[in-house]
Amino acid sequence: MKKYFLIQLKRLLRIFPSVLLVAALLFGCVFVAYRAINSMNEDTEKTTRFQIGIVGTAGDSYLTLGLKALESLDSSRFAVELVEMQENDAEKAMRGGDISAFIVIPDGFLDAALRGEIMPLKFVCTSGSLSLVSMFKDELTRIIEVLLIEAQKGIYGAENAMQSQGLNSSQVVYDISIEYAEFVFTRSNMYRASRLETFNGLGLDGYLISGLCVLLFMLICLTFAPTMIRRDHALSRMLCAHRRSIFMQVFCDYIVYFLGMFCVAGIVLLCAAAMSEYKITMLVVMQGLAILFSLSAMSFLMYEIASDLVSGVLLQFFGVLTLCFISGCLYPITFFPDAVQKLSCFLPTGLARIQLADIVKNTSSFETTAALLAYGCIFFSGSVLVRRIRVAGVRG
Amino acid sequence: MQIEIKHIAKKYKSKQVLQDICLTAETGSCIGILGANGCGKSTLLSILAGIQRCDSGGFLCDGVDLLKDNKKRAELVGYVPQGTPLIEELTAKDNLLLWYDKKTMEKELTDGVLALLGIGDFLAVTVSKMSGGMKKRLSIGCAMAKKPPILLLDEPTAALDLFCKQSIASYLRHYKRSGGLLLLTTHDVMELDLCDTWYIIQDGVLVPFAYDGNVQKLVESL
Repeated sequence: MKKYFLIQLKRLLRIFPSVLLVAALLFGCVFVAYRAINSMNEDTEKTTRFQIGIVGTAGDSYLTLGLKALESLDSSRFAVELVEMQENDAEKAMRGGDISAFIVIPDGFLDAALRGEIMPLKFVCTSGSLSLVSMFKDELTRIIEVLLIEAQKGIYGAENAMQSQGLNSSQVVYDISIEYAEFVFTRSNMYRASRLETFNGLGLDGYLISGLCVLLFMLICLTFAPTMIRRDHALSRMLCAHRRSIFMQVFCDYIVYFLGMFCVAGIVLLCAAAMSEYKITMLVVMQGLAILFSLSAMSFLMYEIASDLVSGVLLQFFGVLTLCFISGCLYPITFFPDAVQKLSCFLPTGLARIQLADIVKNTSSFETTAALLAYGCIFFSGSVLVRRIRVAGVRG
Repeated sequence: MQIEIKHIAKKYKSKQVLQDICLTAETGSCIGILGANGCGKSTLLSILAGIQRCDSGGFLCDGVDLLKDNKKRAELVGYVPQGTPLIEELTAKDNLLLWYDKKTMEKELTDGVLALLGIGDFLAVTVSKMSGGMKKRLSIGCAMAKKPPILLLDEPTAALDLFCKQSIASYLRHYKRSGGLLLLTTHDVMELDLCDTWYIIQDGVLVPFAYDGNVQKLVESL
């Protein structure tokens, strides 16, 4: 098989300059797209305010005051505009897209909260604005925290006052403290407070870089399509007749493909690292190799499945776009429904994005690396199986 | 040297593609296997070439079962599949180097099988720029690297022009005269003339057929 490997390597070298040229063009396009999305997002962040309807505050001056304070003190990056309205109007407004979500505050909510009772809030939103609501829940949690801290201060203040008057306050303070402690521990029953980790702990820049790198890498795979897609398996059959096993054939083909991808991705990433003054360490190289193995094996499998150039390119292109989209490579994953967010963590492209995010953050995760390597092995085994079926599947 | 195909059977799921295929042949002869599309001709050749496994049966050469002895089979049997078993981006020379070592290739190009096939004329041409005839000659050249005494050809001149068909038939005649045994599947009248014995695969069974140049009779038999 040494001869076969060398011949395949020679074949790769023939097309390598054109692959490199296409990769450079793709890199340029992705870089421009990144700059465009980034600047667009910055502009949007400056100008857009998400509108949230608040129902049930009419006539409650404390709540109105609290909400106004929340709105003015909100330090999160997505500014939220709170609009007081009736429930029917809020529903109509949300269906019309005028508001992103609305929250119904039940009568006596504030009084109950001050007494330490739980009155659940009602959140109404579209699936697309789930992350916005969870962020709002986060803000409400903080309000309750403030309420409790201030109330606690009040308790100790009252204790001081009672002691200065010569009254025995210990039992009263103890009872009140217990009551508030219970409230602190059970306030999560008010709603499901989910912490918002919008970009896996990354800023938008880092997130977009990691997502677009996955997309760029997968698109670079496309440049190998003319050489990787087999019109027929006559050569494989002839090699089989000469005792060259299917496994070894696929292994040689894949190693050559991997080397090609390694060179292209290496050159592109070195350029990117030079532009951003990013330090490449051995750990980064190992993490990168896991991504390379997994994604190149996936694209290799797609080429094995394809029966001609057109179907191969289409399969690769649409497959890549779909996987990258639902893995949050094109748009922050937190803006997708929960189910998609969970699914993305199991997809190879999603794992690659998470691994790239780790690289950008200079952290590492054994689980992610192991999952990527496992995916690579599965895809490689799949390729052997598909080739075996194709080669043996002679009809006629 | 004598070959004997004994009771070969092959089933795809519920379809019995080949059943009890038996034939005997001697070196210096050519056997033509005919049949409608999808009747199992290519399956039979790929079983004999060791690409597919049969459910039962054997392929004996001087008493050695080549379906069990892979090393012997690779030495004795050359196989030219349908399609193009070549690397399109590389030249004829590069493709030959996959099967030959450099010295042998040069020798064969001077006075051997590659010279007979006229491959020296297009040695530096990239496969993607070759004609169908050139590709087929190169494919046969690659299959002949170990000078096998048995050559299996799956529709060797399909989709070639008359000149190319004649050129390839001429080489195959030479191979047969020099003691080689040809086993080919075909739909082509020119190739039928090359054969000494003819068989038709009908419903998975190999049926002997006496071809006397009457194509109409042959079509009716199919």
